[in-house]
Amino acid sequence: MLSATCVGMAALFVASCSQEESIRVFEVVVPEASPRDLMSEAAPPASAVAAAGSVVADQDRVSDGPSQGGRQIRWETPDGWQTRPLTQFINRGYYLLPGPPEARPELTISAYPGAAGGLDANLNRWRGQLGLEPLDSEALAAELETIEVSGMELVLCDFTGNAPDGSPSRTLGAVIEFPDETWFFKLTGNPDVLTVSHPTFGAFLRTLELEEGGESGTAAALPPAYGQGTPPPAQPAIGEAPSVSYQVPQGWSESPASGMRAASFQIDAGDNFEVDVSLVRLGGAGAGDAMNVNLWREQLGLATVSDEQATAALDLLEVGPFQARIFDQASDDPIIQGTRRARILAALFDHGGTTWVLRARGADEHVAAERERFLSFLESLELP
Amino acid sequence: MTDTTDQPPATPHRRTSSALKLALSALSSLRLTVFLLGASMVVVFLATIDQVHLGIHEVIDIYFHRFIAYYDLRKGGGFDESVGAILPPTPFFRIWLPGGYTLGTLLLVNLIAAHTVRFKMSWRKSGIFLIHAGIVLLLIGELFTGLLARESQMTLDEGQTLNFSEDPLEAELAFVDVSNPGLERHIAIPESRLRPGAVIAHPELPFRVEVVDFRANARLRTKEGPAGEGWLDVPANQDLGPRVQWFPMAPARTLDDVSLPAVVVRLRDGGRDFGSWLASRQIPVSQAFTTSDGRSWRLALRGRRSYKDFSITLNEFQHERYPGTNIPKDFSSFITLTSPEDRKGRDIRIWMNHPLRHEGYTFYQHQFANDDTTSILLVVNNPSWLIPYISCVAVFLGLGVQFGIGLFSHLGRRRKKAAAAVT
Repeated sequence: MLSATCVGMAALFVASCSQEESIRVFEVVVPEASPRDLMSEAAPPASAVAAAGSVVADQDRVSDGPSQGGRQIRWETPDGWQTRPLTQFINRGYYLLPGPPEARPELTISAYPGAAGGLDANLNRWRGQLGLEPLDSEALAAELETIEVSGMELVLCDFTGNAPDGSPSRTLGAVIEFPDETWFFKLTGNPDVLTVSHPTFGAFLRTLELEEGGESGTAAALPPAYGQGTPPPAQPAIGEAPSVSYQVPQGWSESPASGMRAASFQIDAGDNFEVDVSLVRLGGAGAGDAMNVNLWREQLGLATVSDEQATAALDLLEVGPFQARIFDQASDDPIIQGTRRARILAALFDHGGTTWVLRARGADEHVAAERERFLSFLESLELP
Repeated sequence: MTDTTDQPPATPHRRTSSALKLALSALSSLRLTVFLLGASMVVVFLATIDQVHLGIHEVIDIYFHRFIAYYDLRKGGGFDESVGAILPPTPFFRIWLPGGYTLGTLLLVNLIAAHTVRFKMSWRKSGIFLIHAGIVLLLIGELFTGLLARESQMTLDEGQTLNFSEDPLEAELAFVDVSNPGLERHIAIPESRLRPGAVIAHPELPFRVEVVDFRANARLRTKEGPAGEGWLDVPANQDLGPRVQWFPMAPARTLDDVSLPAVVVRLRDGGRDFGSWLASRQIPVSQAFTTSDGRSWRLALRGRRSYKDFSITLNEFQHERYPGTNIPKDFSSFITLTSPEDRKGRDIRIWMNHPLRHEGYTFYQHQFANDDTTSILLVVNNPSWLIPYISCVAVFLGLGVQFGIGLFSHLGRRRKKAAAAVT
């Protein structure tokens, strides 16, 4: 036994002197019910510091940085949408849309780190839930549409099939891919009901806005280099305001451009009333005139209309170098502070391959009084 | 003159036998036992006081998990006005010492040799044998623990589910083939292989990995903003690389700090160059790229990852403090343990001194962060965890048996004496 012990120790000594760690190869099955990154490849950046290996429980040293990708997207929730509590996988928003009690469409909003398994895999997963065959990248791409909202690129899909119980089902989806995070907006319901919900969903998507200070790019995922040097400053936000020049009409107070706004003004109408004017670059030329019209109609408390009706509601007007489509509509009810009707005056126009929107919003008579200055401002615009 | 013809000739066999006896006699020496125990005390003492300069993990590595240890005498240090920082004292003389492996091995050999040479098996000494067997088992158990035990951490946000844990001290550069939606293939290169100039090829990788630079501990920052002294450009031209700088630092040594290694690798696929990529443990997400064969890959430097056959969901983390103070009273993780056999899962509470033991892993409540919404579980996998318990039982029984034998023989002698006095 003594000699065996000596031999064992000698072997241990030799082994400890000459070992080189080997490369590990292993496979991980991705759980079907959860996006890939949630449980496998990319560790969710729980707290960035914790993911970076910190074992410190000292509150002063723990980063209060991004909890999941460090990004927030804002939206306006339409009237009649019922909010439901978030769950483990539906971690950003959960709504029931108007519809028959037994078939209310369901909108889930989730964000996951990284590519969450990739666009194709997730869309094919959605297709699988409708009993549809998966498609290869090329075939899938032909089914998709891309729009731009607030500088973010939304990939839209529309699949119709059957739910596991055999009932017809349709999924309208929007996916936003950031370098370090992916957001999923998924509306599911009965195809007939969704036909009604579709315009509202489109209008809802147009309200998406990257929260100010929200960072873009993988660098946004960097936790602060705490303890050493200067903390990394924020990256320019997606949809950073382009530089434009213009003549500010009398009575308009300019406020700094921020987020998606290329220019922003407030007009003091007295008695604590204010008209808000904004200039926004939307994206591709002619992107969603009807969608915008319905969005504004919803903001005015008016019923949404079909795409054809929405487009027909726009007046064509040549203002300076621009062929503008003018929307000018007031609400039926006093929705401004409960005492005054609201009005939205907006001009949609194309320039440089993109669509721009100049919009004034406020009390009915206040906005109407600004129409001339609104058009003169539009005429003075010099866009990049 | 002395006649030597009557003396028996010294045969080789006899010479070997006497040499073995001499060696056994030396190895079984009680003086050696005392020396080894004394040396162990010195090593433990120096290791303890060296924790002023070194972290616990480094101390364990330098003093115990090696055959030859050393203690550095240091001088200087303190606040230096010229640089405006507290500088650590610098070593000026190194004392070499027997390491933990050497002392443990010699104690083991000494004990076994003593039994071989001196002890004769008898019922009267069975307690001593049991005690020594327990000590031998304890030494062997510690050896196996040092070789086989692995510690990692599972960091969970409330509501989050994970099926893996990561080693906070040991990193790996992972290339993950995510081409298959249902299956990931991980090729993980250990940190020890990431040395500048190293070229790593593997049959599973359709490209070669050339290590351009490696920093054992480096902080990252984006380039925008005021430049600070010591921040260097990262020699990477892909994704994040051109936009950040790094600040190389000495490896972290205390329990309160953790090294964040960073590496720049250039990927080449035959004639195609995928550029140079920065990966760091400070980057909590992976970076994506596609190879010419159409496969999608992810690249990340992460803690050495260990996947489980089950998953854990953190439902809630509770941190109770003594009223009116910030002194922790209790912290608990309420989790759901789910496995393929039990998809519904079972709810479990893990809290101080009440770990969860499951499939060879022990989950301890370790730390918390993120304003009490993140729980960090220490995950220990030690196949030899039972050995110390068995050793203690053996030593306890041995002491009892030996004491009992002594007691009964003493009582027997007293009875005999009393009987002799009566007669």
